[in-house]
Amino acid sequence: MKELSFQDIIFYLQKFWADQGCAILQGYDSEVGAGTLHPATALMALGPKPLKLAYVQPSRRPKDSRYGENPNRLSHYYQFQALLKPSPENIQELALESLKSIGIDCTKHDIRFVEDDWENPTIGAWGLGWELWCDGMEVLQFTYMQQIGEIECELIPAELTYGLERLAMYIQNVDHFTKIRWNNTEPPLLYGDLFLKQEQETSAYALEYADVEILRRAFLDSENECKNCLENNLPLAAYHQALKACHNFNLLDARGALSVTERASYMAKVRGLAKACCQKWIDKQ
Amino acid sequence: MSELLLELFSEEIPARMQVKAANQMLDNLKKAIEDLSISYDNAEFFVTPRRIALIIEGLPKFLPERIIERKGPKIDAKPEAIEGFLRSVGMKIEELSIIDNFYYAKKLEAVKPIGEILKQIIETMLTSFTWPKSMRSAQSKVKWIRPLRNILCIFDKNILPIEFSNLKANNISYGHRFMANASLNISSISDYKNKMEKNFVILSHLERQENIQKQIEKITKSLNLTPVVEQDLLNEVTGLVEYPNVLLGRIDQEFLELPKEVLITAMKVHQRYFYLEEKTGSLAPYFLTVANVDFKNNEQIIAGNEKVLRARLSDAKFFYKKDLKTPSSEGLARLTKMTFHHKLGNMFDKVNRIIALAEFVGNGLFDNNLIKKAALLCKIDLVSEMVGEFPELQGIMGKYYALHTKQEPEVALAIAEHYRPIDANDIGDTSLLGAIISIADKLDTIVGLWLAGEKPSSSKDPFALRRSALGIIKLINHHSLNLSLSELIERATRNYDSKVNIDEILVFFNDRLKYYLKGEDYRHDLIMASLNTNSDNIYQAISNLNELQEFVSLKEAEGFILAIKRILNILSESKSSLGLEINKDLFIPIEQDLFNKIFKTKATIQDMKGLVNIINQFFDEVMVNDPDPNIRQNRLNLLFNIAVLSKEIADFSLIEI
Repeated sequence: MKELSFQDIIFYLQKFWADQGCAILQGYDSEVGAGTLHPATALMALGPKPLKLAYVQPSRRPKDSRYGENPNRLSHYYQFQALLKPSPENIQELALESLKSIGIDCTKHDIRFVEDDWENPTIGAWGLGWELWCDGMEVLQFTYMQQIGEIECELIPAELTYGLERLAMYIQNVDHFTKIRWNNTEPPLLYGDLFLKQEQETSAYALEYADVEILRRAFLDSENECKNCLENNLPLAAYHQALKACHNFNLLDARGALSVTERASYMAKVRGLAKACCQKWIDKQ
Repeated sequence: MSELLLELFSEEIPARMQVKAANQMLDNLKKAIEDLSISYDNAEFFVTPRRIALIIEGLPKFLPERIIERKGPKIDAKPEAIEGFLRSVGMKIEELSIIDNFYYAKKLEAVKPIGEILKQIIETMLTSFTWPKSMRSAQSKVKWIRPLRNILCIFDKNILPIEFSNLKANNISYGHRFMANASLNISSISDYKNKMEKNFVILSHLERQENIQKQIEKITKSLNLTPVVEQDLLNEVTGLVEYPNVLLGRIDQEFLELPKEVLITAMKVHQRYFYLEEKTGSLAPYFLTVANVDFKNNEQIIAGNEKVLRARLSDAKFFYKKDLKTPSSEGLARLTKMTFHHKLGNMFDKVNRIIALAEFVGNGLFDNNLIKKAALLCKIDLVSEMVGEFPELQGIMGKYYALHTKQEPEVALAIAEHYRPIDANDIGDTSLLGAIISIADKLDTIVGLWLAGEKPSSSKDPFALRRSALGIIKLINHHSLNLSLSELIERATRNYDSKVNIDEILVFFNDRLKYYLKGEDYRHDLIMASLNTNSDNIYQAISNLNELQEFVSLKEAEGFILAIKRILNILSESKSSLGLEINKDLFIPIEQDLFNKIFKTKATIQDMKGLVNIINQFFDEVMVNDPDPNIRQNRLNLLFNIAVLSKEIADFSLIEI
């Protein structure tokens, strides 16, 4: 098989999971730290209705800002996420087949399931699972989700998360994210051509220029809007505001503006909002 | 005779839990079987990432007829209680027997097939088993470590149809996930072992471990290298594979210029590789990985692992080079932007406090200039790129950066050591300068957080202050540092321009000291007796305890301790208030003798034990409770003089004889 481009990896994974009956969604249109925070997972993984989804989620982690210099740490990156609720009995086999669809064949490589439990304290979520290692490289995060917003999952979902940049660097054998080939044209468009400037600017913003007072106010505004929506029984709209609050908190954190205790208190606030959104969403079902 | 085979086939069990869980399950099963007086020859467990197998050989087929006895209520118990008992055993009152005023129901139980009993025992064992962490799955509400996929259970050549979780036992198992993933029909233990072997599963954890070691030996022997195989890592990788295949990978020469600890961390911690050393002790340009598969051609797996390590190390090299180019002045400036605690300023403030405190701790112990230098540079690596990515290398990187800027080797070493002791096994055998900086850093943290209202509670210690205090104690003990804690705390507090309740922190340290000493195999009663007051000088307190512990192991100790305990008893029972003043005019000769001796005696065991004969003679000749209240008071006061002396050594009333 020809070496896959970044977009090929997305195409193949989408095709694979679509063939398993997953609806292919698009990423959520608000800043999130990971694919799990897309309401299609964070809310809809709760409750009694079966659901199969997959999507690419553009994700932002201001704290990982490195001005595009670090080989594999970015403040803006892409996750591919598949969610199967309830997790089918052959989910491990499906995970391995999905890897095969992007050229990682378990009859040629050493694949291992290494314990890795997942936790996201900002939204009160946790699960047990593994990292899948291919010849020593983490290629997939596999989680049986147990709780979201501190609420027990009724049908236990399996969440599979692929870090697309890392996978692409591994598959294409390049040593810096900027060198990832995005497509198959000659010469190819590189990840760096597309996003290096963005990475530099968002890093400078997050680490140097973000206005702390404005961010604090913005956090408060989103928090209040979230509560406003909750009072009016609009959990999905409320959740959108909770994500905004969460991102503002992440920016404050990256900016180094928060002390340990302050950080904990912001986190508790976000968790409280997420929990309320989850509860309201369940109640409304 | 019959055999039992139980296999719990599941998705991958975390490596660190496998052996403990399998062992526990077998123990529980054995105990339940033994409780029914059922005999067996051999019981064993096997565990791999995907299965826990328990076998018991030499079981009888039937449990013979036997009498079962159940104790009931007293014969004069309320009628309802007796009726209840009769109902529960299904007997009439005249069928009960009476022993010592209690009813007993004795019932003859008929011959029972063991299989029936085993089914119940196994189901109970599984239901009551708890994992350190567990989950529900989509298929079952029963909590287990990871989804359970199949249960195989055979007793006496037949399926024993136990039911657990969402599963009912069968006679099926599976081979290696990637090398022989077909289902297998199993008829017996020996059939199971054979089929597993043929299907690339080495059942025994120990056998896999030995297998790995042998392969490692074979590879490294031919290269004339020494593998560094730590037991923890060996255990872990053994728990990640069913069919171990040790492969040798190469490290590019360009990475060997990196600090050794960086390479080792990347290999050992991040990749679970074993690293190798040349005969000279330097790091060899190879690593060993334990794969779970063995194909005809393993080159691709090796190349993949090399690629992953190369990526990690080239990241590390990138960070390292960048750090070496950063002058320490810039590093120190960046420390001002790093918060230590919102009430206690930034990390550079902390560094300044560490300097002042380290100078105080090390006064007269070490060259002051070197103390200042090591303290100034001890936190600088926290803002380096390398520690940002490899946090476990804090201190170590500081050492390399200090050497790079031509600091003295003692200074560099102290920077690396000032986070020590790092764990329970670390006794604090650092360099002296390392100990001085470490004590200053930890004490500053304890006092600072105390002032900020973050002192530990019984359930919470988010800043690990207990561990810091324990670290200080270990360092003081190892280096025999004669330091006054209260003076140290007072000095640390002055750095904050503040006042703190010193006694409260002393109590905190003494609790830690007791905890530490218990772990060091001192007798509990001696610790409590010796540390009955808060020791200001930890080194002195431990020396005293050593002396006491040594003394009580001697023959002469018992007589002495009993004599002192007798005195303390009399004093605690007397109702009069005690004082040290004596009226010699009331003495009889033995009292005068005792008095003379006491005033020549110092508060040491060596000195005080000389009093034992005369104390005993005193008790033989004198009645303390004289009818004359003045004489009585005088005698009590004489004894009180001895008690006061003895208290300086220990509270002897707490010593057990």
